[in-house]
Amino acid sequence: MILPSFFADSFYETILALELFLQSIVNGTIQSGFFALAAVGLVLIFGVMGVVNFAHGELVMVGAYTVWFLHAQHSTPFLITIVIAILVVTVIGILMEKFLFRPMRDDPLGGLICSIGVLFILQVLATLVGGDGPSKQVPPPFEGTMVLFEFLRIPYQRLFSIAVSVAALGLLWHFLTHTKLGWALRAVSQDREAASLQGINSNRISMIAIAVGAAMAGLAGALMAPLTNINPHMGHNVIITAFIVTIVGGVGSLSGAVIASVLYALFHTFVTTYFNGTVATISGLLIMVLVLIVRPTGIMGHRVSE
Amino acid sequence: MKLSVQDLEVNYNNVAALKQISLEVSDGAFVTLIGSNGAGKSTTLRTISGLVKPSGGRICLDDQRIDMLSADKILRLGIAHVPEGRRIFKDLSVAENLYLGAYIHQDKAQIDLDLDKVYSRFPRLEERKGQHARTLSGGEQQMLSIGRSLMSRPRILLLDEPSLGLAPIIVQEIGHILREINQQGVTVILVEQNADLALQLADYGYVLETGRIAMQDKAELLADNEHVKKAYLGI
Repeated sequence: MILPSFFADSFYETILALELFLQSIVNGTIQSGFFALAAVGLVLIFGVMGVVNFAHGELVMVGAYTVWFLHAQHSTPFLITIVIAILVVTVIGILMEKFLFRPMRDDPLGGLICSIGVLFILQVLATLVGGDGPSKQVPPPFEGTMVLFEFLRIPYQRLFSIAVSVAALGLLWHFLTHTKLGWALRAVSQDREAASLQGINSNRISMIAIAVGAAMAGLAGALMAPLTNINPHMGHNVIITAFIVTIVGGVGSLSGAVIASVLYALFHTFVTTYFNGTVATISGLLIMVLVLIVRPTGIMGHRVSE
Repeated sequence: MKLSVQDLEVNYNNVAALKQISLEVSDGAFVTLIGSNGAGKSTTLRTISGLVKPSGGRICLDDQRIDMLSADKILRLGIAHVPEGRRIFKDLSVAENLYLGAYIHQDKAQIDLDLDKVYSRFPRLEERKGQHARTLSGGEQQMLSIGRSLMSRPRILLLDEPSLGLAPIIVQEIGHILREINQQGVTVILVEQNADLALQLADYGYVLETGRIAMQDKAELLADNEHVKKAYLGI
């Protein structure tokens, strides 16, 4: 009988395809946490200080290196290394603000060039610490895999990452929408001068913005460490992703960046699964260009008046 | 609190914007600066509130020199500035804008009392307190900008062109509110191109022309002056 076996094959294939599809959604969702953590920092720093922080990917890289160095090399407990990674990267961010971006306040291009300098310095430092051999691996501290509906596989390590990412983004959201300091931060990013007329010290707010942005980057790196290849140049992919997400979401819009992170992560995962990673990045950049042509303000951006 | 500006000079890229401006504003006064576009009215206000640094002269509040202080410190001394173009925080709600006006204060109870005062003065702001400020009409945005400054509990209120782009009826309303604010003891320094309105409200006026003070007098005398009538009142 030809017909039934054809049905059976087709049924089986359909199930497999459906499983792959659902698994991709899960993978993409998990990926979106990293994208969003990296992108919100970039948006915050750009919004408040007007500087494109090209070293943002390297901040993520330093977070990952901290976990590799302390956890994989020196067996510090993973959770403690996450906290240390956040602190280390936050301190780097604060130093960048104080010694580079603040003197360059009236010169966004100068700030950008300084951040490129920091990018190289951090890459070289990472090479000095870790050597220039093959990429480092961090064995996942959380072992095992959760299986849902008998086919969806979510490693506990990834589950942990997405949970922490969502919690961190939720905290940031609360900070920005429910605290006076958060309002002040948004006020400075909307109109620095009008904010100073309300008594808001923009240097202090810039410091807070970069501290928060860097902390998010450090956290992203720390969470990513057990799930990715760690090398001095890993920041490259991070910054490209963060740019795509920031521009698609609407420069200056944090909610836009988060929404775009989720959409882009799903998109990227699907294209990677069904084609490959290079095609995914190329098409991501194409989408960014298309958004710039069709809707230059991004998904959530507003036209800036004046 | 007496504000005195002595021989103030401001340069923008080596071009003199203010040439030896001197003003005396006593406690509780309502003073206006009138003049045409580019005469230096806004620059004068912006220098007083610390947004622009002078290249010469001095600004004193009572006996304290304030011209080297940053804008956020000057606000803490009691000088609030309602900037030209309203400059409200458009992506924040009306209430968040007002709370930010009280950024320098920590006393929650008094801040809430001030908020009630602003809402009773501008009932439309209360109706729209949860809305994004960008959704307000021009007049409401101006009221929000004034209300935001009042939240800092200013002793001296600087206003830059509050009537700009507003319908005549709203302009009257805002004029009425400014007079009320002044009667409650706040010193007001009003910069206006609408000289007619400004001279009605103020008790003393300065006429600025190309960065200098061309004339100064009691407001009603300025309103009667032939040159002022011709040049600024369109009579």
